[in-house]
Amino acid sequence: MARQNDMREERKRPTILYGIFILLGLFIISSCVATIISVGSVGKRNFEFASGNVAHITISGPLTTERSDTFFGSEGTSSEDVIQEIEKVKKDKGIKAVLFEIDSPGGSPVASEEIGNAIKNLDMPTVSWIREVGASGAYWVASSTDHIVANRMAITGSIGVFGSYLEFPGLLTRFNITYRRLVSGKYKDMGVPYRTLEEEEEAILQAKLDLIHEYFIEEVAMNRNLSINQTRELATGMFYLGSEAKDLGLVDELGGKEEAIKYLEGVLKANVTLVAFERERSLWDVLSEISAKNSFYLGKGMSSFLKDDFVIRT
Amino acid sequence: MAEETFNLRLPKKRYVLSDAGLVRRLFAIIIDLLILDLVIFSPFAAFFQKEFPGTFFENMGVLQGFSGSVAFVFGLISILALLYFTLFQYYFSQTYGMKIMKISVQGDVSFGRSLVRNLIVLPFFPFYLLWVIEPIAVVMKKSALLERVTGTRTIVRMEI
Repeated sequence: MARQNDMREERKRPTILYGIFILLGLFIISSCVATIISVGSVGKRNFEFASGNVAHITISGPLTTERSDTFFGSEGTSSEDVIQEIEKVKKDKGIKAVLFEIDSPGGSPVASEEIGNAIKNLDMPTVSWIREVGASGAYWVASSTDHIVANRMAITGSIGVFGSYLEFPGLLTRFNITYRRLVSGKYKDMGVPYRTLEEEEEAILQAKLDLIHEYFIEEVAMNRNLSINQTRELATGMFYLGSEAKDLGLVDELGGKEEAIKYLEGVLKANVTLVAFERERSLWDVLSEISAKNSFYLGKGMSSFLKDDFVIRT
Repeated sequence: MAEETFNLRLPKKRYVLSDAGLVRRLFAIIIDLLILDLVIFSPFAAFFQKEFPGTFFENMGVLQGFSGSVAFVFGLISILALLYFTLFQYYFSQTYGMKIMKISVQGDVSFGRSLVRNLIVLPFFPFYLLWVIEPIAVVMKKSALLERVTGTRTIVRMEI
């Protein structure tokens, strides 16, 4: 009995180290579970508690076919991710329509077409809301939806293709660097920046761009119920403000999110509740996002000292 | 020359043990909650920020129908908090908050008894009824209901 009491006393000796071990253990469990949840839940529906009937998919930044991840987060939107989200929408029986929030200057024509086709394959009403920029490839995407709502000052249109690049053989010569041309197939290194583009090559590249431009025009004409000639007249690469685009038939309605929701409510004949669909994120994505946010706020803090010097005003 | 040792016969430190009052217990819990905030709650800060982006009052409505993952996190946090109180009282007879407030658990505190006496931590029915019952019991009877159930006491050690 006495021995038992001694053991008990020994066990009950309060040492800071044991206490820290317990706290550390609890902290590790919490951190692990919190990480697993944030990795696992992101990418499914956001705000699971709000069961909605309209999926909200955001398309922002340059359009690419594949995601480009850096330690400072991923830039732009990849067609791979958007298609993945659209596939999830298709499987979700509660979703009756999709709202695409677009804020992108365009990008890869392939990515634009992939997203556009995926949207057209959706068997439900779709609406685009061009917030600030929905130009070029992003306009291609927007035109694939049933209805386009844009802010009157938003930048839209810009139906054109460009493949401009820097050519610097002069710079290389100045630094005594020689481009040793070794090719099998005379057009294989067409467009490399280390030598001057031949006239014939320029004509070939221009023809390719024209062809892509033609695809773009056909797609927009078909999506917007415009004639090819009418679209070709608009497809000078010129960007249009939302109000201009409305007059030209490139946009259906001027407004914002409210108008887009009202349109969907009219089509669905039901109240609209949005559910954000985001791509699934890995642990790496979460970590890089934290890093990106830290860098952003660090930069923001530094810029607060400079705010009186460099201001862009509207 | 052999050194002589003198026994000054100074009086030893003396302590008085008595049942801990409500105020001491409350302060101990507040200190422990601050520790738990750092150790258990803080890793979930991003999760709660995402789930409840609005203000406290805006979120009150949302809380009525929160998702399975929110319920899971609440449950997990409660269980980890229960583990904190249970393990510390089982191994050391007191938590950090209790140590600062100079109170400790007295009696045969087995793991099971320690677990039962801390069930008040759980924010589920019927345990949250104890949030009202226990303070009244401490004021009226000087010991909490779960303490009487487990045959333990929370005492304050005062040096005199």
